[in-house]
Amino acid sequence: MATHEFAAQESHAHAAPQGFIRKWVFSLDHKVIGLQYYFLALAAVFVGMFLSLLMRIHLIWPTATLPLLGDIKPETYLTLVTMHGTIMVFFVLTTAPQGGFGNYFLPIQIGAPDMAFPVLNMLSFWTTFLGFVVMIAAFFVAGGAPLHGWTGYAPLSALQSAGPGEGLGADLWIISIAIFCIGALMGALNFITTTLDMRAGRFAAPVAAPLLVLRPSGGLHRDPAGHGHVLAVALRVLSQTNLRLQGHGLRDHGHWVPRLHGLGTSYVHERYEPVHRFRVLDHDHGDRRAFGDKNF
Amino acid sequence: MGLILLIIIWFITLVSTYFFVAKTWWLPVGASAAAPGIDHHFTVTFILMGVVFVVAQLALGYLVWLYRERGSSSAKVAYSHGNTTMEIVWTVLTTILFVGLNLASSSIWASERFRPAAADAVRVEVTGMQFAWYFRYPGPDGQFGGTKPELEDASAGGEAALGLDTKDPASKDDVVTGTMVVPVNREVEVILRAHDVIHSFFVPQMRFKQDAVPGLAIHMHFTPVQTGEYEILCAELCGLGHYKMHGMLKVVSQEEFNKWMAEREAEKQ
Repeated sequence: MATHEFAAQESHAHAAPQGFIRKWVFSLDHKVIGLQYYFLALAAVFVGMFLSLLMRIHLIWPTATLPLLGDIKPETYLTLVTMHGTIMVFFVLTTAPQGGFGNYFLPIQIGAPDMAFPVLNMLSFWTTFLGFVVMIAAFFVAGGAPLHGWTGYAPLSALQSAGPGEGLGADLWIISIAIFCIGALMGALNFITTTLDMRAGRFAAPVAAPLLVLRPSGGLHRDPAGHGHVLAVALRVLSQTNLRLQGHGLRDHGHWVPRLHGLGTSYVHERYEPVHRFRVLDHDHGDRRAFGDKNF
Repeated sequence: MGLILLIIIWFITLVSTYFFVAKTWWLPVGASAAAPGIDHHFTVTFILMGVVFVVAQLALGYLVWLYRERGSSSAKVAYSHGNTTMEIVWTVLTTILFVGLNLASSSIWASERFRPAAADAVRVEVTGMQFAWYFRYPGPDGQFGGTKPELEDASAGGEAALGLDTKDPASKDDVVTGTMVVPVNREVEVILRAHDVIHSFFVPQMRFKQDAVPGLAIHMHFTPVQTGEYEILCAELCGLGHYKMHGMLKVVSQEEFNKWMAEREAEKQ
């Protein structure tokens, strides 16, 4: 990017990437992970699109025999419906905005140098990736992919007799969803911790941040500049009851940081110097100064 | 590039809007008493959201063009810390729109569900099973006979498919059919059941759709106001034969209904 000159090289938020694997495959950088999520979603959208094309082809030429795939029988069609819906809902519409854009933009928007737990972040992506692999594997097992729709409503989804894909295919489907949920949970923990603990000082809430994480600023986090937030009043009651994290530093300046050992370091400890030049979409060591002079 | 994006965004917006404004397709005829209210609400929602959509897309195209790449003369991007007033305004407006539209529709929703059916309503028990609809009328005694799971035989069809207990006196005059016949201008109370998996009873012309869930008897009612034949669809993926699971709703005059019912009762004897 053209704005590297703004970045003070000595204040890197994290160590420079080492080698291809660390930089692009098992990366700890929120922007690289965001892009990984994004490209996973892009790959998934092409798979989903291909499945919907097959559905359209069947609707236009119901009796056609397709090369390699053969006839589209009722069970084949329901398989297409199910896998198209599942892939689009979970691996595109959840993965791209939450994992992709969320990882890429949330730290920038709140003025954080990176996500709170970079290793957890990496794990959440690769867990999601594993979920996708297991989902695709359902096409290749005996009986093929499941046919109970992306909603997987029981009893239909619970009956093995409901169709050929409801055996091993349905098992892989539900295992994949479980893996996906674990990945999404790790991502969500990261988003919540990052938003609560690492936002820079005074700022009016950026648009996307409260969409990703509901921030009860009245109780969980002191508002240094005394600016009220839109949600503050409504959430005050909530935050004073069960949401308040008693006795832990989460609700103060961030001197105390919840740490999960082995899952990466929270960057909240880092101090940064006030600078006056910044630019959105800059690399993160620049972004973290975007909100002025608040020291953690 | 900015100009191309502007043209593409505006073009897609205007073309997609055209299809709705010109009503190149629209809803099927509304043949129930609730249909005008539902259609009105649908139209109001459509117009309100359509205006929001068009304005937002036109603004998007314009801003994309306004802040296009201008080479070396490009101004530096200013970082906005947000605008609390604007955020409050659009959040409140969206909330009013969303909550308001929900409140506006709630009376229609409730009128078919929460208000009990009229005392003189025609009662029809609708049972969905893979992959057919069965309709049971209580007969002159107004009582549905008992059914037993162990008596169910789906392959036999009709009464046997529902597991009707023929020893129950109330079941003697129960009529089970594969076509739903109801009189016009009289409320129809539907008691929805499902035998195996979740189905959904859907009659587009009646603006009526409700899931049938195994283990539940769901009461709803509607009033057909136009005679005719309307297709009943299953609107919940229910298995391999889902695509062909449908039935017929015949709305006839009261006399024709009485005659039809008498014939069915006569067949039972």
